[in-house]
This record gives sequence, C-alpha cells and structure tokens, in this order.
Amino acid sequence: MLVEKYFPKSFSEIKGQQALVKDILAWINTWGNEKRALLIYGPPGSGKTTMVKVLSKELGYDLIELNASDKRDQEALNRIVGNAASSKTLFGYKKIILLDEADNIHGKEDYGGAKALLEIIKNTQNPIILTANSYWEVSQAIRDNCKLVQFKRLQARTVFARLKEIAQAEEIKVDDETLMRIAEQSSGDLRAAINDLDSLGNKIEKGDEKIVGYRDTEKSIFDALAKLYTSKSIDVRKEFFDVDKKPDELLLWIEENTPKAYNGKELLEAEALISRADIYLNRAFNTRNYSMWKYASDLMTGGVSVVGKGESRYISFSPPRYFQVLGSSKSNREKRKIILEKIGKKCHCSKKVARSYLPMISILFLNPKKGALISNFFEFDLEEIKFIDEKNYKKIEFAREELLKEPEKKEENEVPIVEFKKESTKKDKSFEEIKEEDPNKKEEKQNCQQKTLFDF
Amino acid sequence: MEFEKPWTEKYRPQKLDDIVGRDPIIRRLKSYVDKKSMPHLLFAGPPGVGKTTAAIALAKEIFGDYWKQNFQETNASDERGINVVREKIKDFARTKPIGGDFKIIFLDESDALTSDAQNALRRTMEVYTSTCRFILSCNYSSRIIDPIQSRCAIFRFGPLSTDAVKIMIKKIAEAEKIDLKEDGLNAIAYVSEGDMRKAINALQASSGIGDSITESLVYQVTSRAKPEEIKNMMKVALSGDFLSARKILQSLLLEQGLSGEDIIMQMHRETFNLEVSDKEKVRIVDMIGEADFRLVQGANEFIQLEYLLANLSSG
Repeated sequence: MLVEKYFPKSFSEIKGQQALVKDILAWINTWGNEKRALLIYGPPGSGKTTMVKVLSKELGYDLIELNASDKRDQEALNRIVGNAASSKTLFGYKKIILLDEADNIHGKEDYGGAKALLEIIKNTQNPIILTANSYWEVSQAIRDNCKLVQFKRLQARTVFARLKEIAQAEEIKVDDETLMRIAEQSSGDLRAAINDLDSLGNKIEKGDEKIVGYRDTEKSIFDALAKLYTSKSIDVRKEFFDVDKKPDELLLWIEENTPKAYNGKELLEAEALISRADIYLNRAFNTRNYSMWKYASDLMTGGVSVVGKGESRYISFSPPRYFQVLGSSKSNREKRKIILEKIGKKCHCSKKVARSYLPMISILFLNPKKGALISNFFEFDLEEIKFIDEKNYKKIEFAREELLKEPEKKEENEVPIVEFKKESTKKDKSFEEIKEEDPNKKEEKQNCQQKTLFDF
Repeated sequence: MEFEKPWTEKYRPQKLDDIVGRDPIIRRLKSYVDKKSMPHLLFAGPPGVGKTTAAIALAKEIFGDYWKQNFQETNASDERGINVVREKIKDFARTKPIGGDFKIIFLDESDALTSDAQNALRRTMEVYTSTCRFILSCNYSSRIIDPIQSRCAIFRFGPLSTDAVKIMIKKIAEAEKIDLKEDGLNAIAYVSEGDMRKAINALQASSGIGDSITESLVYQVTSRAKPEEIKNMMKVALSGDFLSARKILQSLLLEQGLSGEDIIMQMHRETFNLEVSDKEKVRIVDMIGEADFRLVQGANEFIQLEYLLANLSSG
C-alpha cells in the first residue's frame, strides 16, 4: 500500500504543519519545565500520528504506543503506560509514550481509564503525547494538563504536491487536473487522498476519481439546508436523499436552523409543518411502521421550503444541540429470530435482510414438496415450519419425510427397527388426514395465498 | 438430504465477470486481482445491489482454492458491540494468511457497529494491514466514522439498472425452464426497484404459484398495483370527478385484490409526478400520510381511501 511505502522518514518529508514542528521540538527539548503531556488534535489524515512517529525516530526516542484497539481501562493503562511513565530514564534510553485517539477512551469498556490517565500525566517521568480528532471530546481535566497543539486540515495544494511526488515515483499516468481533484475531494486528508490514488491503478483517466472519492462530511447537510431555505420548492426534498441522515436526526437539524432563516408568517407555517412531521415520526416510531418516515421527510424539507420567501441570503447553519438516539426496538419473538438467523446464515445476510425472504418462502410453502425442499436447505425444524405456515406445516412435514424415504426404499428389507415401525404408522395416519383435505386443495391455495403474504 | 436453494444463492455470481450492471466497479476490483493486492475497501449502497456478491467473488479470485481459509464474513448488524472487534475480528486478523500475502475480513453492514467499535476497528485495520485487508459494506456511509472512511477506497453501489435486473432474471428463468412473459419480466424489474434480491425472490415466488409468469401474477405475488392506474385515479379525483375515481378504487381493492397499503404507497410515489402546484403536493402528501397512518391503526381501507379521494376532489 502506498500509504505505508511513502510514510515520511524525516521531518523534511512531512507535508504541511511545518510551523508546528518547532513548537513540538521546543516542548520536548525543554521537557519537564512546562506541561508534562502534549495533546495534538486535528482532523483525520492531517498527520498527527505521523508527526509523533517521525519525531521519536529523528530524536532517537523509543516509542511506546497504546491505541484504541487495545483495552484501555485503569488496569491496562497503569500496567503499560504507568510503568513506562514512572520508570526514570537511564542514560541513553529515552522514551516517548504515545496514546493515540485519546478522545476515544470511553466509559464502559475502558472503566476508570480517563481517571487513571490523568494521574499518569501528572506524575509521568517521560513525555506523553496524546492525539485526538476532536478537542472537545477530551475531558477538560486532561486538556488542562496538556500543552495543546492544533493540526489544521491540509490544504488541497499541499495534498496535491505529495500526490504528484508519489505519482511520479510510481510512474502512475495521471494528469494534474485529476490529481488536483483527488486532492480536493479528500478535504485535507492526505491518507485518504493517497489511498484513493492507490486504488485507481497505474493509469488514471479523467473522471476516474469519482469512483472512489466520495467521503461524507457534514458539508452535504449544510448544502442541502442552504437550498431548502432559499429555493421555495418541494423538489428540495431530493437534495436530502443523499444526505444520509435519518429523518428524526434531520428534523432536529431543521428545527435548529429554521428560526435563523425565517420569521413572521413563514416561520409560523414552517413550524406547523415541522410539528406535523414530528407527528409522523412519532407515529412511525409508535407503530414501528417506518415507511411513514417519508411523509415526515417531505414535509420537513420540501414543505418548509415551499412556505418560505425564496430569498437567497447567507445563513450560518449549525448542528442540532442534542440528538436523542432512537431506542432500538425490542427483539421479536425468539422463534422468528432463529428462523431469520438460519436464513441469514445461508444467504449471507443479516436478520434484517433475511426478513425479505419470508414472503417468497411462505409462497413456496403452498406447494408441500417445494416447501419441504426449501425447508431442508434452511434446516428448519417442525416448529419453525409451523411458525411460518400454520396451515400447511403438516403437509410440508409429510413431504419432507417422503423425501427422506425415497433413497431408503431400497433398504426396506433390511433390519426394520421396532421404533421405526411405530413412527411409520403415525406417518400413515397423517397421510390419511391430508388425503381427506385434498379435494379442497385448490380453493385453499387461493385463500391462504393472501394470508401468508400479508403475515409478514 | 435433498433440498432446493433460494435462487438468490443458487445463481449468486461466482466470478467478478458474472456480476451484471457494475462495470466500472468490477474493472477496479479486477485490477486488484491482477496485482494480487488491494487496499481496504468500503462498499456503500442499498440492499441487493451486489456488495456481498462482489466481496465473495473478489476473495475467490484473489485466493483461488484457499479462499475459504483466507476469508471471514461477519455481519455487524447481528453482532455490533466493541468486543466483536476486540476479540473476534482481531483474532482472525492476527492469524497468518494461507498461501498468500494477506487475508480478507468482510464486515457486512458495518454501519451498524457502534462508534466505539468503529474506533477500535480503525486501529485494528492499520495494525494488521500487512496480513489482513478489510472489506466493509454499509447502507449509509455517513454512519461510518471519518477516520475509517479515510483508510478505505470507497465504492458506491447504486440501485441496479432495469436492464441489469432483466438480464439476470432472464438468465435464471432460462435455467429453471420457466415460461417468463415479457410483461412479467418488466413487472419484476419494476417492483424490484434496482434490488436484485427482491427481483429474484419475486421470480421464485411467482414460479411457486403459476406456470407462466405474467405481469398480473407478479403483481399478485408482490401485491403492488400497476402505476398507471393509480396515477389515473389520482388525476380523475383531482379533476373533481369523485365518483369515477371511486370506481377505479373499487376495482383496485375488490377485483384486483390489492391492499390499501399498496395503493397508498403508489399514490405517494405518483404525487410528485402530478401536474399541480408544489403547495398542493405538500397538502396531498400530508393527506396520504394521514390515511396511511389510519390504515396501519386498523381502519377500514375502503372508507379511508374514499375519504382521501374526496379530499383530493375538493382541493
């Protein structure tokens, strides 16, 4: 992978952030006088971890690393970091402790981690460097005990310059314009840009970057909101199709920003529509009929747009203050779950997707032999077959036994066991029952068709 | 034991070249096969558009006979906690690949992973990158945290084209010796909405009931009305002719055996194609939504839909 091949080996190879190198070097060279830990925060791909790795290499420090894929509770931190932090430096052995993704030490699994970290930072005998994507998600107590360095998003031309170097070294055929677009669509994430370059192969044509470049940022919702409040058209609803926010989250975005965009009569009308949309959301949740989300979406987007004045002006949008996560609906009955698990396992899909097989399966159940064959594939037991089709399960079970019998017929003369005989008389009985029903079969087929279809 | 597979499995493409309607993506994936190397991949798109199929076919072509040993499939929506990443995925990532340079972990529906789990995953991806590549699939890429998106080449799988669905359905019908009529094929393509799983299931379900697959059989099985009739009904109602609209409704509900929900679903879709003002469209959506809700609550389909048509007529 190109990202690894072209990982910087010295300060001079690090792109962007050069001004910050001085700050960080100064901190480490005078370590002990100032804050004992350094917090580097900035967006993904801006070079935080890279900087620390190059730093330790250039200055000849050992790097002790602990990241989010490791367990980071109190015990683990004390064992690994605490040990390294408290052991005094012997002559010639210098250590830097890197705690990557410090914004991601969390409550339950990493119990006591944040508290332990604070103690370690206060008492460490070696420099500790923390990295984080978000300043705010590192607790204030930790921030207060760290020297802060902010990495900004890399500029497109900086990303472009590095891509160009790599493309030349790798003899990748690509024009500057396309390279620039790859750089631009990475939003300052050098790692993403290099990965995109990597995945496009050795000969990149104009337009190829569109195949790989789509990364979501919050930008798309801001664009959609800008159109919502200025275009006065129901077709604005389409702008939100790609926004990938669930309607309940979207409603909070719109609720937050509408008062900034509208006033007076339009605001009143818009609020009425938002409350209507909210009613639909609640109805959808209460009934768990999520297809009703679409009405909420239409009203909150297209509807709110239509009641506006359609004036275009600059509005500074902001994300909603809070977002309540939907309590996920409780699991269905155990039996249904098992059926869906069986389907999912065989059809490479989740239980949720497996649900879409149920109508087809229930139709095949109308024909006992087909029902038996498909049940054999999914390894359904009698109870499960009954759950899917209460009316036909006996016939299917019978057809299933018939299928089993077929190859056994040749061995019929050999060693008939007593219990087997008992069972086979039972079978004969159910065979009788079914035969009685046979004349009505056609009518019944018509009737249960609808029933089984709408059961799911 | 004798059995019959669902046709989605029986006819799942085994080679990249057999996947229809995904040419630009397949071209890229094949370049990974040629190089015997690939970055981490993120497949984003709705269900039934070939994400899992592409992942399995890619693994088969890269690893050949050893594909099963070097490929692990985990469904994140069924096991979504951080411990899946810290234990199950890490354990597989840790072990050596067999007969190759790396192995592939396919994490289906990875947007179902909690953000904690995703954060743990991002580092696992990097630490084991020399021996292990990830293919993450998701419906909504916005639910994948930025640092993971940054580590992946992203492939967007949109809904399949009508043509692609038709090619596949025809192929299966031939192999199964089904009498598939032209209008039946069109109907399957229409109801599938670009979802191949839906299309194939509709074909298999239809073949379970009738010997020749026609439009009306497909709609009967998938119980969805013909779009023109619903649109016509709405137009008639909007023109003020309530009684004629009511007649069409009767035919749809009683003679064609559609459910109220199906009619509502179609009406909503058609609303945006009507030649009325945007404000009127908003009003109509609101009314349809209200009717839908009442139906879900168990109200009488016919009375509710009649009321809806009356509302349209008086608009």
